This record gives sequence, C-alpha cells and structure tokens, in this order.
Amino acid sequence: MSVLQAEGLCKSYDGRCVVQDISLALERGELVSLLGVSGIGKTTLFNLLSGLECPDSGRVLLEGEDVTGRSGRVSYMQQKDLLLPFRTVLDNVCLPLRLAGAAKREAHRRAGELMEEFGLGGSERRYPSELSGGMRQRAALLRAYLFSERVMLLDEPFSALDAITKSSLHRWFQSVRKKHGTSSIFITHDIDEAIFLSDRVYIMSGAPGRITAELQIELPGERDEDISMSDAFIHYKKQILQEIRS
Amino acid sequence: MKKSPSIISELYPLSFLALLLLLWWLACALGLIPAFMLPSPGRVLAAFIGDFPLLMQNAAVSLTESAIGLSTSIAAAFFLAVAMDRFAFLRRAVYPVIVLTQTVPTIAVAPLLVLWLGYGLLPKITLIFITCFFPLVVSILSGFAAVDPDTVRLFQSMGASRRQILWQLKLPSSLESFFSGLRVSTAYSIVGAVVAEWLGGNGGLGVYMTRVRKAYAFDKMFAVIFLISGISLLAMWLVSLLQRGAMPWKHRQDTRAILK
Repeated sequence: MSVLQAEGLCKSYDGRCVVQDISLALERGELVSLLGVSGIGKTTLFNLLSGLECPDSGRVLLEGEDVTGRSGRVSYMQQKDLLLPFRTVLDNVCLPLRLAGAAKREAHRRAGELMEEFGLGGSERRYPSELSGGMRQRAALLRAYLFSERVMLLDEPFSALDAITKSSLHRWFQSVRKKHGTSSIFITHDIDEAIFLSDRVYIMSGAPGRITAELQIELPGERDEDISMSDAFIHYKKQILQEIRS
Repeated sequence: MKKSPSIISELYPLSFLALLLLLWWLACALGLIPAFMLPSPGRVLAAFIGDFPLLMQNAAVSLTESAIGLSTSIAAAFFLAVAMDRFAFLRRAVYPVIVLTQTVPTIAVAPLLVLWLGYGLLPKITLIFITCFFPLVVSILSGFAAVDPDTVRLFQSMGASRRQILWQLKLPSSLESFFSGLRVSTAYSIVGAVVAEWLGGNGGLGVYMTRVRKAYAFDKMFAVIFLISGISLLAMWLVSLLQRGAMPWKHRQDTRAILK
C-alpha cells in the first residue's frame, strides 16, 4: 500500500481551475519530485495533500485512511523557513512536539538527539537571526521531520540558497533521508535537483495544472557531485526537458 | 568599538540641554525676564529641595493612580484585542468607536468624570484608563495583524489549535508592537493623573500644582513640572528595560547590528 495517495484531485478558485484530476502515489521510503514551471499549481496541490485546503473533488489517502481536508497528518515545509524569531533554534525545532502536548524536557531530549546529525549541534541556544541560510533551512527540515517522519511535503526547501550551499545540502539530505527512510514529495523547478534527489519524477504542466508525465530515475552508483556529468543524468535531463516543452 | 557611537549620540542632546539651561540662567541673571515670571534655575532647584518630602508624598499618590489606571487598561486592551482578533464582526463594530473616543479631548472629559464619580480615586483612574487604552489596543491589534499568514498555515499544518496559535505565535510576535504602545501609554498615564487631579482631590502632583499656582509660587510650579517629566522619563526607561527582558532575541540582534 502506498504511504500517501491522491485520487483525482481538482481545485478551482473563483471559477478558475488551478489543478485538475491529479492522481499520484508515494511509496514507503521514496522521494518523489513534482517538477514544473512556476504558477502551475504545485503549491495548491501541496495545500490539498496536507489538508490545509479541501479539494472540489477527489480524495487523499494516508496509509489507506481518508484524510481529505484534514490537516495535522503530514508534515509540510514551505519555501520560507518560517522559523520563529523569538524562539531559540532548539525551541523552534521542538515546536511540533510541544504543539502535540509533549513536555518541554521530553521534546528537548528528542530533538537534541538529532541536532548534531542535522548540522545544528552547538546552535541550540542561538536565535534564528544568528544562523546562516543553510542552517536555517536544516532547522526547518528537522522541525518538519519531528512533526512526522512518515510523510514530508517539501515545497522548494532549497530554492533560496546559493548554488554551493545548495549542492552540499543535497548530498547531506540524501544521506539523512536514506538513513531515516522517510517518504517525501519534493516540489522544485530545478531539473538537476529533481534528478539528483528523486527516485521518481512527476512532471506537471498545462493550465489548469495536471500531471503529464512520470519518470523513474535510476542512476548507477553513488549520487555525488560528479553524477550530474554522467550520461545517464544527461539522458534524464533531455527527456524531462522534452516532456516540459511538449 | 561597541560603546563609542552610543556615547556620542547621547552627548548631542545632553549638550543641547545644557545650552538651554545656560540661556535660561543668563536670561534671569541679566534681569531680561522678571523673577516673578520666570524664576532662575537656582531658585527652582531650591524650591525642589525645600519641598522634597511634600513632592514625594504627592508623587506617590499620582503614581499609584497611574499604576492602577495603566494596568487595568493593559488588561482590558489585551482582552478586547484578542476578542476583536477572534471575531471579525466585533472588530468592525468596536474599532471605529474606539477611534472616535480619541477625538474627545481628555481635558473636556475630566470635569464630567468628577461630576459623575466624585473627588476620590475613581475619576482619576477612569481618565487614565481612557487615555491609555487606545494606543494599547491599536498596538496589540497591529501586532496580531503583522503575523505572517504563512506561519499561521505552518501552525495549522501541524494541527495547532486556535488557542495555541494565539499564545505561541500571535502574542509573542506582537510583543514589539505592544511595547511601543506601552511606552506611549506610560507617558500618558502620568500626564493623565496630573490632569485629573487639577480638578480636585486630596493629594497628587496635580493638586500640588494647583495649590502653588494659586499661591503664585512659580519656582515650585517649575519644580513640579520638572519632577513630572523626570518621572515620565524614568517610567519609559523602565518599560524599555522590561522590553529587553521580555524580548531577549531582539536584544541580541541589536548588539549584532551595533557591532557591525
């Protein structure tokens, strides 16, 4: 059974259809990218999947359970890190645990175990304004992870970073994801990023937005910085570009 | 590196103040203005020292009124702002009326309050309450409104309740705005107490002021004016201190900005 499944999702605002008949599935431990130009309805789709908004038709299943229009089930990381300026990094990361009613000490203990791995060791008592962009993004990722390790919806989490920070975060994210076996859907408009991180890519296009192609990504060997020069990588890139243009 | 700019920036107003004092002293010493109209700085200081115990006694009365008026105003402003944030219709109905109350001059309301509530503590506290209320409600509400809607969605996506969003997001986010309102209200609360006391009562700086005015003791009049502005400054400084304690993250940002 898929961890997360969408069936025939449609949503329109003021009579204008934004996403139409979207069906997709996320398998356990998988990372799936949603690739498409800006304004295609990717974020709307995430609002539907996370239950923040209710679709006009269709439904969302989380491990077989109908969760259409019910928020608080899957974790959702938006483009901006949205760290609270008035909380320390540790308290920011603990937010989902505290909202769920965990005691402060217990929340700190659980988050504390992961701080090092998320590259935040030693920054527990600092405020977000004192962190670099990459660290803020990692803190936001840890917060999303602590909310739910089952399914994470990531809306362009790395898009605001510079290219060097971005590529080092890609490699780090890849290893963390493999270790914890999280299942995630990843929105991006960066083709290289999509190929590098994903097991599968959904391509969204048209107005209203719909899924027009699905691509399994199988890259031989380790995914490191050299892989973007490999033949297989370039082959996928060409294929995706073709799909987007058609 | 850290201290020099702030010291220089404080030297400017201090030296300007010293210049004004010098001009005042000169005007009196050279006999340009007769002493019954403008007492010299020395005489004002002498009056201040001579009447010090009496001034403190009256200041205690005024400060008690201010403290009660201000704190009830904070509590009421808080509840009303939360209610108006929760129920949009309440905001639409009440907000314009609150703005309207601001157009009525305090000095015009004061005699009415005395007529209705007598010469005791109640009319003073009521007047302070009215003057402090508006800046507080407005500052808390604008703090709520400035919360990033994306952050609200983040809280919702984590299944946060309305109450959790209020306590853990909206209130801490609106602290900065609240404190700027509180600074204004604190100054108003002291002036409000004095104005209310002008119209009668048994004690307070306003009562003292009326008495020395009727006695044409203008040196004492000046002494009490300086005392009032001194108390206001002190109270506003205390609010800033409180803000630093309540918003440690802001304080650290400021330090970083100065170091840059």
